[in-house]
Amino acid sequence: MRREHSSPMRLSIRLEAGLLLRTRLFVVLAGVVVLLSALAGAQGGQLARAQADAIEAARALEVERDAEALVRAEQIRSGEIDPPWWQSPLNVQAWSYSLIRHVALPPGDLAGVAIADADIQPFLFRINPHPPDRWSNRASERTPSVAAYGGFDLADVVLLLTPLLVIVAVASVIRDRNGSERQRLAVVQAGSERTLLLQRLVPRALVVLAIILAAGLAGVVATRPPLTAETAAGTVTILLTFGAHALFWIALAAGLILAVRPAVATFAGFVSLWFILGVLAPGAVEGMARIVSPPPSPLSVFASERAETVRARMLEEDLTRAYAARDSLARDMLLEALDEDRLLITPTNLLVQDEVDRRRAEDRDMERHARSQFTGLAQTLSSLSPTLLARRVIYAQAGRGEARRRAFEAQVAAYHGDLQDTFVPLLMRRATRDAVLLPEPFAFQEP
Amino acid sequence: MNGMWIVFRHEWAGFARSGALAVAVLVVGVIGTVTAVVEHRAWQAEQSERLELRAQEIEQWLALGGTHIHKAAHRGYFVVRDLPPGAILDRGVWDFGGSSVWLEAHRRNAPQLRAADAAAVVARGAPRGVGPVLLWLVPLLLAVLLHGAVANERESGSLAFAVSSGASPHAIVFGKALAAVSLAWAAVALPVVIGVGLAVRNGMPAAAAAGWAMTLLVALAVFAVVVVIASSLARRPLGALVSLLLLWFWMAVLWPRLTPGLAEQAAPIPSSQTVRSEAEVAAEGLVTDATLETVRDQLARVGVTDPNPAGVSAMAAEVDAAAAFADIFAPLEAGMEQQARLLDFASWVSPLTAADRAADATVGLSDRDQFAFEARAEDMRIATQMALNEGWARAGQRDVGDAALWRNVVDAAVATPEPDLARGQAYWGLLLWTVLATLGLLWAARTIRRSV
Repeated sequence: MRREHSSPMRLSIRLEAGLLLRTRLFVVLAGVVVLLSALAGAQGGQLARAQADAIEAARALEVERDAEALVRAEQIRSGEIDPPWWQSPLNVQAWSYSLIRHVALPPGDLAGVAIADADIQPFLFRINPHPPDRWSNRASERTPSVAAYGGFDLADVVLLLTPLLVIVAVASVIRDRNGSERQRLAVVQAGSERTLLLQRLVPRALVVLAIILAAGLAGVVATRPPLTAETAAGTVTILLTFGAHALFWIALAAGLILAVRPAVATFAGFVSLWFILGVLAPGAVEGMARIVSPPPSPLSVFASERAETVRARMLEEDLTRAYAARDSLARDMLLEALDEDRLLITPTNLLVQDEVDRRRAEDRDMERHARSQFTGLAQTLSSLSPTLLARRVIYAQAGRGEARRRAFEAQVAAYHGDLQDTFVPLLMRRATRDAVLLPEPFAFQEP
Repeated sequence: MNGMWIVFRHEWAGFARSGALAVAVLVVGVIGTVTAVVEHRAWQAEQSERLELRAQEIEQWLALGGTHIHKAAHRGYFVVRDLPPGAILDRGVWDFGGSSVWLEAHRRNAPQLRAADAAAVVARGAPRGVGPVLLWLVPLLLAVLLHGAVANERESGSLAFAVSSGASPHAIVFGKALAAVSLAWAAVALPVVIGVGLAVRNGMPAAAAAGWAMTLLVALAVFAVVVVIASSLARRPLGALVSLLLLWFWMAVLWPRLTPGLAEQAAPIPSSQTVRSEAEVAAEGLVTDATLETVRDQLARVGVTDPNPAGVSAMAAEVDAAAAFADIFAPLEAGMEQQARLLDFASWVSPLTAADRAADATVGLSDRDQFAFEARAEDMRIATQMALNEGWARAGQRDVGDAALWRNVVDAAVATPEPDLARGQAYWGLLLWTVLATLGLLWAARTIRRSV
């Protein structure tokens, strides 16, 4: 009885959805999309958990090294042990090299959703009060081609497979446009060809949307995020983004079907647009941004830094004397070392770094500017592709976006600046203190 | 043979009439040629930067004058890898393998200065270089243009008519396959010639360039044959098109991105950060009396009877550090090599991926080439430090170097020759696919005979 009272649209939804779900190729592809999404989510979640574990282990190491230093300092003060200066945590220079402080960009709660370049960019490394070339383990190394292929990312899987799912879902609608007897009869029954097409496309669109949302949800769940209000809101945003992206491709397919009659031309149009917007766009966007606003090359930046360091090294004695004139507490030690031709590796390294910072300040600003112009342009151009735009939204939700990384870099520079403010005057004097100098650990502030 | 030739000519006439030939040659020609020119410029820019950095490093070392040897040792030497001109054809791991290594006293540094550091994340995983771009574009174009090669005729009934009139299904299938292969080759001819010309002009051995071109042409031929097979097996042209699109997506996009994760699961490697931290700790206070004695004996044998103790100690430290590093880094190196091998085997699943990896090796930008560079850099590090410290040991009571010592260090850093190109296992994947494609054609012909 209920069936008799169903509206034509509800009836067509049921019939078309049933037809679609009996299409073997579509069902297989839908299964593949859900399966790959779950797999990608699991891999992303694994990376996020590995990063969180590494940060936790690094923190534990900091606490352990601090505790050891405190015990050792107590033993020295009580006269229990009397180590040489280079093994004493009370000697600031010795301690500055054995002190462990890590800077870390913690993965967000939904980090597993997108890997982006999180697997090759530095997210955790050791830092100390010395010039940055003395920091350790800046980035984790991977087998180069593993790094080159990129992370198998939930965002990419869903966004790249959506157009394929759409084209397979509407394939029979496109094929029937060529004019079969069945089609002619159906047009008569529906009233107009346009109505018939909509009656056939809407149910298929709903099925595709449901599968994409299910795949997205399966992927997010596979990352094993914590259950909080924030992650729920983030998940909703991610699913809405997947949904909006799917709707774009459905609308595009519908538009092509309505506007173009020959099936091959409709297919060719859809495939071409998918190739341009989804497959070709990433490389084209980066290529265009590189041509219009080239970023500074790491090699040329490094060559300039190295050349400036060499020039500053030639001035070591002058720099040391100038500093001695400014710091009365360091003066005697520094001048005595110069007069006796003793090695002053740590103080001169710091002075050379300071001099290089001063000489390169303007160029570094220009390089930073060029770099941010390049990334900004790449981001702007990526808005031209719905796939890249959706990916950007998901990266931001997952905490893998460019802005968060830039904030991390800025906070690392500030933290290093604070460390140097504390340590440098004492290092220049080769000071020994009564207590171990324990700087606050780094804590990332969300931008 | 005659029947096959007739089908081949008929297909070519069809390509010309339908515009398929013009579309393929124009689209592939423009995109491929632009890629070749852009990649050539990128190679020129980066190679000249690498050469400049190398020259600057040598010049700076030779100008060290009376610098304290201990300071020079920690100043380190940047060894820069040449970017092979084959990079114009295929970037391989160019963007992700560091271009230089900082050779320092008792410290094994990671390769650094990667092109990827200046890339926008937006294009990660996208194909770059003539080969990878053609391996993406041409198969897709073949799928779109030729999916109806046999299926259209089956749908219209002309296939049944031809076979029942005595035409051999084998001649039909092989003739169409030959036409599809020649269309693919015609489409890539211009970019391949331009890319190879630019690479050879910049110093790539002609044999290697020919090997690269052969790899590309074989992979495209295999995919062209796959298109004809799919078209022969499909009931309708649309079914063939959709199946081929999915197959292309699987072979060109999905599979290459699935395999790294699988290789990492199958051959996990220790965290490089942990390994390097361990090496840093190991390098502290390593010098043993036995090594000191060995070093003193070695110096005595070359006439240095009263060596500078600091130099002897530094030499011994490097000997012990090198031995310790070899053990500490072994699991990381072995794990990466194992992953590279697994990726080679995994590439057999797709002729496009197999060709991509084989091409990486042909142009000298494969994983193994990067490993070879890093291993050579460690040899150079030991050689430069030993040259430096031996000079220190010979310097008597002085602790400063001179022009001759700095020259020895520079010579030690450039003395090691370039490694031979590492081939890998991906070529076998292409061979396997060639056999499979031929068998597939025979099967398709049999299917046509049965179905008509």
